[in-house]
Amino acid sequence: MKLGRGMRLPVIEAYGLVKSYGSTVALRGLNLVINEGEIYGLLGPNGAGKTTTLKILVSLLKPDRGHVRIMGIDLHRYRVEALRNVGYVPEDPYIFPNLVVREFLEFIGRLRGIPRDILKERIERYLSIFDLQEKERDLIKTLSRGMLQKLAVISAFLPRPRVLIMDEPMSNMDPEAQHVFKEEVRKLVRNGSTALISSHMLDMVERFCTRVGIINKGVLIAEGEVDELKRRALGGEDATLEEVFLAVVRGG
Amino acid sequence: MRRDILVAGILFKNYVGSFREQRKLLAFQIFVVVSQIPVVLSVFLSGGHGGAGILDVLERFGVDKYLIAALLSFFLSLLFWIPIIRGQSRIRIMSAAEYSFLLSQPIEVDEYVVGRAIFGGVLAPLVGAVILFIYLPLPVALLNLPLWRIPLLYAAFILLLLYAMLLYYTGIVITHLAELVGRKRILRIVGALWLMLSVEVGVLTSSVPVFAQLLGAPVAYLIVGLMSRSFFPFFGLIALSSVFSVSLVLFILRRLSRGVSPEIVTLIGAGPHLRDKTGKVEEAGIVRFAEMVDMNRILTSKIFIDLKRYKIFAIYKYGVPLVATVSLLVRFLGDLVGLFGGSGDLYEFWEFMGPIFGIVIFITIAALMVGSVIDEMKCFWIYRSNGVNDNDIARIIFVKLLLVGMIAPLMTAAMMVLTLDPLVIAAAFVVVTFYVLLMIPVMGWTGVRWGTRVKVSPLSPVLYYTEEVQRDPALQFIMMLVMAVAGAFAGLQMLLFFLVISIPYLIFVVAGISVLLVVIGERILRALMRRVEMR
Ligand SMILES: Nc1ncnc2c1ncn2[C@@H]1O[C@H](COP(=O)(O)OP(=O)(O)O)[C@@H](O)[C@H]1O
Ligand SMILES: [Mg+2]
Repeated sequence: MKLGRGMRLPVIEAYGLVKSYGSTVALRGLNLVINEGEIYGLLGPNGAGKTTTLKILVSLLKPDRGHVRIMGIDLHRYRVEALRNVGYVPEDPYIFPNLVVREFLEFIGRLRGIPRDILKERIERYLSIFDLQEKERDLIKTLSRGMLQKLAVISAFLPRPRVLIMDEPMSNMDPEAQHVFKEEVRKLVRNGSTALISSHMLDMVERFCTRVGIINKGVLIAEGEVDELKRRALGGEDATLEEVFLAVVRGG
Repeated sequence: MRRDILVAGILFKNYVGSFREQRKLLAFQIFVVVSQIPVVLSVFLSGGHGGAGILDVLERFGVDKYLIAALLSFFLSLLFWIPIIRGQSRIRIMSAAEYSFLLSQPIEVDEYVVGRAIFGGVLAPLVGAVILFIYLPLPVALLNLPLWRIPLLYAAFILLLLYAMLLYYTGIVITHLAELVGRKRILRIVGALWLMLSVEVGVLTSSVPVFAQLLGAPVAYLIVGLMSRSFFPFFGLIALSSVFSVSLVLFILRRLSRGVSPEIVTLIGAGPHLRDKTGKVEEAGIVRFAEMVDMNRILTSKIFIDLKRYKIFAIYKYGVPLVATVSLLVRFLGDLVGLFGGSGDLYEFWEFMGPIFGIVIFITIAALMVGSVIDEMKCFWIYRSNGVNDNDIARIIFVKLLLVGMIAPLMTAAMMVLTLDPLVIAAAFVVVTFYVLLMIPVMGWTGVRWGTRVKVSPLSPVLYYTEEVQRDPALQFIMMLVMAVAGAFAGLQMLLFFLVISIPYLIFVVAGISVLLVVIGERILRALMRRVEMR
């Protein structure tokens, strides 16, 4: 641990999360603490429980056991207050099919209480950097998957939230959009936000996340800075993240 | 032949699931059938006079059983010609499991095609559309036919379904073969000619020409004969030739599909969204949320544009007035020509048919209602992660359900204008409204259960009629339950209607309870919203 890091405030805290779907146990006592100013990458193979975790963090799912605090606020007891600080991007965003792009963004902006002029300015800017200007008046049901993902990302960025929780946000984006996305996240984090991003793609995370957690079968099995994790793996400092990942996941 | 049936059986398994699920399903179907008893009962309670009324009125219009049988024959034949005319050369399926199953197993294409026809014609309706079978004994009740007609009717009905599917598949296979040899255009022209000639000769002679009925005739005459008081002449021959035609088409389909390539089967992607061709909205039609301040107004506007773009309001604006006007016109023209000979028959006929139409309208509307909730639930993450509270969500979903649901009472009342009796019109409106309000919590619950399952593709209203339902036992469970409840309520609704007509002041009682139902309905939706999980 580097000095000073431990001093930062925890922004997302999840303790002892357990969740099952019928007979499938998705989470078995997951603990996760993410501190202010981090870009935290939650890595794991398919079915590890990433989506389940993130859904619990925005209270789309209720954990069977365990509890969650966002910015110190108990999510279960004060949901609306806690989520006021959060921007969320789901894994497979389904968005009001009969609204047009601009209507949706204005709708979100108003729900979040963003003043009118600032809202218009931000919408314009995000549409332009994500190359969606042309689609401003298009019905959302006509957008492609990648565009939907971009739209969901924009809606999460719009209120400049203190906490970003994003489920594989880059999976359908083209390289250009991925680049813009990373730049924007960095910018938000420089201005005081914290980001939690799940992914099964390692290279996405390598030069982007400040800290990485590896989840497998519903528990966090390793955590640390990318370099630190590499050092711990057998391959030493030269190990690729992939080797670390495989070593950790197979090691159990 | 045995392998075709095997294929049908495997498809059945694929869609219905394990035996345990099937047993559960069966139990529910029995439940549905039992729940329909009030409907049938109310027919008997109304003395069955409605049936006689219908026949009299129809006959005055020149519609007898010969014409009905001829029309049915034409529609059956049309099933064969439709794929040809449209140039449809593919069997479209929605299940990826079925698709890979076909490609990976040592099954011949002809066995698959026939197996699928059997599955689609007989097994699928048995599972997915029990409702088709429930009302079959109704003509027996209405016309006081002997009870032994009932099993015969069921047999004939299954034969009809199978035959319809076989004809349809034969049409597709023939188109496919024509495509393979580059003769599809000619075939389409032949099909179009057949349709044009049928319609033209039909209109000129005011009858259905023989060549237009050719393919469908035997089975159509069989079923219409069984449903009417006296059989057609040579009825035994008709029955025999029905069985013969079905076997013949089965044989032909099998022969023809031997030359077909496996590409005849295509998987239609139930992608996440239905792509529309016209995506852009005019600048003037765009809603300015940025200018709104009041949270209530913002949420309600969102619901309103949704309904507007679903063209729900068009039904209010044009549909209802149109139906009312047509009802009035029919009434005045009918009186003018003396068609109805006093109003007695017509009155009874309509008094009886009104609620039945009401139910039919409602079932259509119900699919729309559930669909509109599904859409909201798929987007539930937007509300929740942006901090909208549950009560607000419950309220807008209630408003949405109400706005969609109220089409049913308005349409029913508009049709009742025909009677020119204010009491009947008011009773229809109040009773169907009551029914809609009763159904709102049920539809809300269905939409929530359905919309929060990630596996389902949001084809929303269409969902009720697609294979999507046949594939997912949980959805079947939900649908069966809804149908059972809707059916039971529908029966009660008809009884209530007759009751209100004979004791008019009950209208106020029903209206009063309706107000109460609004409050209760919203409360139930609130409780539902609190418990939502997006799985
Ligand atoms: N709605 C659901 N119903 C049943 N099982 C589910 C559902 N969602 C996820 N699961 C199961 O829970 C486990 C974790 O899934 P998920 O959180 O989606 O993993 P990830 O996002 O890491 O791929 C998997 O085994 C998955 O099959
Ligand atoms: Mg996932």
